[in-house]
Amino acid sequence: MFLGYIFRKLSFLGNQYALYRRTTGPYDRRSMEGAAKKLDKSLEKNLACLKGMFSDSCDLKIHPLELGPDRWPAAILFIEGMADNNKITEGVLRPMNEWRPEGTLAAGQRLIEELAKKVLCAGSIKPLSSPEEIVLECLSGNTVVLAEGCTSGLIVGTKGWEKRSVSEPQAETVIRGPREGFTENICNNTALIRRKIKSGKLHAESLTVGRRTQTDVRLMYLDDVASRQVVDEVKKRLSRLDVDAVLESGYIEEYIEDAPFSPFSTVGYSEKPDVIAAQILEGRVAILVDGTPFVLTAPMLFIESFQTTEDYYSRPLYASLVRMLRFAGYLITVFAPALYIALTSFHQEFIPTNLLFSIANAREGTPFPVLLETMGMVFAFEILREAGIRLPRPVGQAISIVGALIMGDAAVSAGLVGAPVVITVAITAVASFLVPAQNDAGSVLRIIMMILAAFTGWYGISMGFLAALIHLGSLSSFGVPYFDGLAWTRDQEDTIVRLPLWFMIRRPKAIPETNQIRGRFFIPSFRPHEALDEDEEDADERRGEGT
Amino acid sequence: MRIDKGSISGMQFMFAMACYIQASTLLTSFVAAVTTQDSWLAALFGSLVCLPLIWLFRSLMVMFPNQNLLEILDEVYGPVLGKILGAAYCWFFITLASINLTDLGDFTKLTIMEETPNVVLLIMCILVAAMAVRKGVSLVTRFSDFFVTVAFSILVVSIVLVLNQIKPANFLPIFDQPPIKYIQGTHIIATIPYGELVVFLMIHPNAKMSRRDTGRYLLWAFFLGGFTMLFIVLRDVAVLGNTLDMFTIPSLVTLRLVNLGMALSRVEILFVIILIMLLFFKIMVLYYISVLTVAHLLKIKKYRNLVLALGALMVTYGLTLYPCPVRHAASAQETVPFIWSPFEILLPLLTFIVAKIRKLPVRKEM
Repeated sequence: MFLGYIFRKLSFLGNQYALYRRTTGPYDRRSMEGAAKKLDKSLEKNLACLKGMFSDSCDLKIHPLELGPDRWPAAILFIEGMADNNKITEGVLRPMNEWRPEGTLAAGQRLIEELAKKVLCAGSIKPLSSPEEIVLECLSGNTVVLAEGCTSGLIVGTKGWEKRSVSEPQAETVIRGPREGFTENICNNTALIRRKIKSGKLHAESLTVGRRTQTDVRLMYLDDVASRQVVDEVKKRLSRLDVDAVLESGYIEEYIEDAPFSPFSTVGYSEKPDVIAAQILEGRVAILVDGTPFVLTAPMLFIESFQTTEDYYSRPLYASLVRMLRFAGYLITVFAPALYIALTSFHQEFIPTNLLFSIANAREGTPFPVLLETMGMVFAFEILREAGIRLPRPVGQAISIVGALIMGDAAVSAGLVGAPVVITVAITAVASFLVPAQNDAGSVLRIIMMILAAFTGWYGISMGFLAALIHLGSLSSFGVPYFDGLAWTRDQEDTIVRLPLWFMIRRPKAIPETNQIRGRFFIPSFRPHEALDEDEEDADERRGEGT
Repeated sequence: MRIDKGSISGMQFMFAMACYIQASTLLTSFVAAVTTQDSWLAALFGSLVCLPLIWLFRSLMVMFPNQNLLEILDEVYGPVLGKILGAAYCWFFITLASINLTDLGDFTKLTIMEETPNVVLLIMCILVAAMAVRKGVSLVTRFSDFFVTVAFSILVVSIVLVLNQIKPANFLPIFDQPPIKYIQGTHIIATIPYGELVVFLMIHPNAKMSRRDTGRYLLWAFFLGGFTMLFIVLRDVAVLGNTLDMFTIPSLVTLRLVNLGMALSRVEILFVIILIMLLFFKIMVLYYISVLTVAHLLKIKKYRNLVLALGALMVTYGLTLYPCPVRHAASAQETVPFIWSPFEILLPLLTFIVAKIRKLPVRKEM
C-alpha cells in the first residue's frame, strides 16, 4: 500500500513535468509543421505538400491521370498495402480513364462534385479540403483523388488489407460452444458481437486513441442496461488517455485500470464473441481495440475469472461441480507450496505418521532447506512455462519433455530435491491452469505465501490469506466492488454453484442499475406432461407467460 | 462530525457483532477454570443476564441514531465531563485491543508457533489489520458474514465428530459449587463477550438501519453469537467433564480427541486457524474503533495517518501488559470483569438515565 503511494506520487510529478513540457512547446504537431491550412488550387503544390507531410515515404503511391479529351491533370494517392488494389482499379482508375464528359469540363469545385456524383464507384465518397484530414484518411487506407484547380480532394473508401479470417481462438478453447474468435479487424469484431445481440439498444461508440498510432477504439454496451456511471467513468478515463501508441488492448487496460499495483487485474478480457456478448448482456461495457483480438470488459468482478462460458452451456449440476473444482484449484495453486513448507518445517505433528516417514525418507540427503527447494522448483516451472509459450510449437514440446522428464526425474534421483517437492510443485502447476484469468495474480501470491510460510508457518499463511482477502475487499473496478458476488449473502445463484439458468432471473446486482430483470424465463415444470392432463387453454396460458 | 463516511448495511452490522461474540469463545476457558462442569450454566445465565444490556445498547442506538458513543457522552454530560469520559473510553478501547492482541499472540504461541517471538506475531497481525483499518468501516466489517459462516460450520462439524466421545455423565454433578462461583462465572460471561459490544456504539451511525431493525439486528447478533458460545461450552463439558479446568484451551483438547478410525485425527488445526481468523477480526474491529476514538478526541479529520502509530502503541502495550499467560488468565478471571463493568454496564446505564432525565436528544424538527 505504501509502495503504491510512492509510485503514484512519482508518476504525478512526472505528469506535471510532461504537462509543463507540452504547454511550452509544440509536441505532437511537429510532423505537421509547414502544412497548409487548406488545399491550394495548383495540383503540383498540393502533391508536394502532401508528399512532405508523408515525409517522402516510398509506400505512398501517386498516380497521375489525365481527365477526358481536355487532358485535365488529376492524381490519385493511396498507400500501398492499405488500400484494396481491386477496388482502386474498378472504382477509381477505370471510371476516370473511361470518362468522356459531354462538352467542356466544369472547372473548380464543380469538377469535384461531378466526379463524385457521376464517375467514381465506391461505397463512401466525401470531399475534404484540409490536408491534415486527407493525410489521416489516406493513412487509414482510403484513396484521395485530387484535380487541378480544385481546393478540395475526394476521399474514396477503398480500405482493404490482408487480414486473418475468423478462426478458433488460441487462448480460450472450448469443447461445447461457438468456436469463432475475434480477429485483428475492429469492424469484423463489432459485427461478431452484433450478430450475437441483435438489438437496437446495443450502442457502439467510436473513439481514436494514440497520438501517433491513431488506433480505433470502440465502446459497446446495452444502452438500457449498463449503468450510466460506469459508462461515463469508462469514457472519462479513455478521454483522459493521452499517449503515443496503443498497440494492444493491454495498453488501454493498464491506463484505465483502478489498481495498477495490485496483483489482481480489474479489467477483464476475452477473445470470444459469446463471452463478450454475455458480459454486455450483464451490463458491462466492452472496449474493442483495433489490431487485437482481445476485447476488454469493465467493470470486472473477481468471480468472473471462475466463470467460463461452458458452465452455462453444460448442465447445472456438472457445471457447479466444475466451478467448485476451479475454486479448489485456485486455492491449491496459491497455497499448496506454502502449506508444504509450513508442514515440513514447522508442523510435522500434523502429518500422518506414515506420510511423515516417507517425506522424511525422501528429504534425507537433500542439501537445501525446504524453502529454497520449493522456490527453486517453482522457479524452474515458471521457466519451463515461459519457454514453452515463446518457442515455436515443435520446439516447445521438446522443452516440455526435457523439463518434465529429464529435469524432474534427474533432480530427484540425483538427490537435489525430494520427490514430495516435485509432486507439490507439479500439482500447483497443473492447478494453475484451471483459472487462467487469475494466473498471474496466483503466481505472485504463491511466492508471498511461500515466504510467509517459511518464516511463520500456519500463522503466516493465515495472515497472508487474511491480507489477500482484505486486499480483494478493498479493490473496486469502475466503482463496482471487485469482490462482490462472493460477499456471501447476496447474488449467490452464480458463484460457488451455478444454479439452472431459469433461476437467474436478475442480472448481477453489482453491475447494472436499471433493468435488473433479465426477463421472465420459462420455468420448467417438474411434471412435463402435466399440461396434457389439463384443458388446453390453461396450458396455452402458461406457455404464453413463459415466453 | 463523522470521520469515516463509509456506510454498511444492517446485516453487515449484525454479522460483525455476531462474529465479535464468536471470537470471544476462546475466552470461555476463563469461565471453565471457575465453574468447571457447570460452565454451560454460567454461559446460559450470562447470556440471559445480558438481555437487558442488549436492550440498553439498543435504546442508546435508537435514541442517538446519528451520534457515536463519544458524541453521546458529549451531549449527555456536557463538553468537559463528556471529554473526560471519552478519554476514559479511549483508554478502555486501546486496552481491550491490546489484550486481544496478547490473546492472539499467546494462543498462537501455545498451539502452533512455540518458538516464534511474540512480537513478530503481533506485528504481522497489526500490519494486516492496518490494511483494512485504513480503508474504513466497510472493509473492516466486510468479511464478518464469511467468518460467521465458517465458524458456524466448524462448530457443527466438530460437534458431529466428537459425538462418539460425549458422555452425559460428564455434566454431573450439577449445582455442586458455592453460589459465589456461579455469580463470578456469570459476571465474566456478561462482561467479556457481551458487554464488549459497547464498542459497536462507536460505529452504529455508519450502519444503515431503521429504528425497528436496530433491535432486531442486535438480538439476532446476540443469538447467533450466544448459541455458538453455549454450544462450544456444552461440547467441551460433554467431552471433558470436570477435567475442564486443567486445560488452558479446552476446545483445543476436545478437538484433539477426535479420532475416527485413522482417517480423521488432529483436526484441531482447523479450529486453530478459524480461531486465529476470528481473533483477528476482533482485533481489527477494536483497532479500528481505537483509531476512530483517538481521531475523534483529537479532532483529526484524516485518521489514516494515525493508524500505524496507534498500531505500534498497541503492540508495545500488548507486550508489556502481562508477564505471562497465567497472569493474563488470572486477571481475566478476577480483576478484568470489575474494571470493565463501569465501562460496559454502569456508564451506558447512567448515560441512558441522564439522557432520559434531561429529555435528550432534543429533536430539532419539533
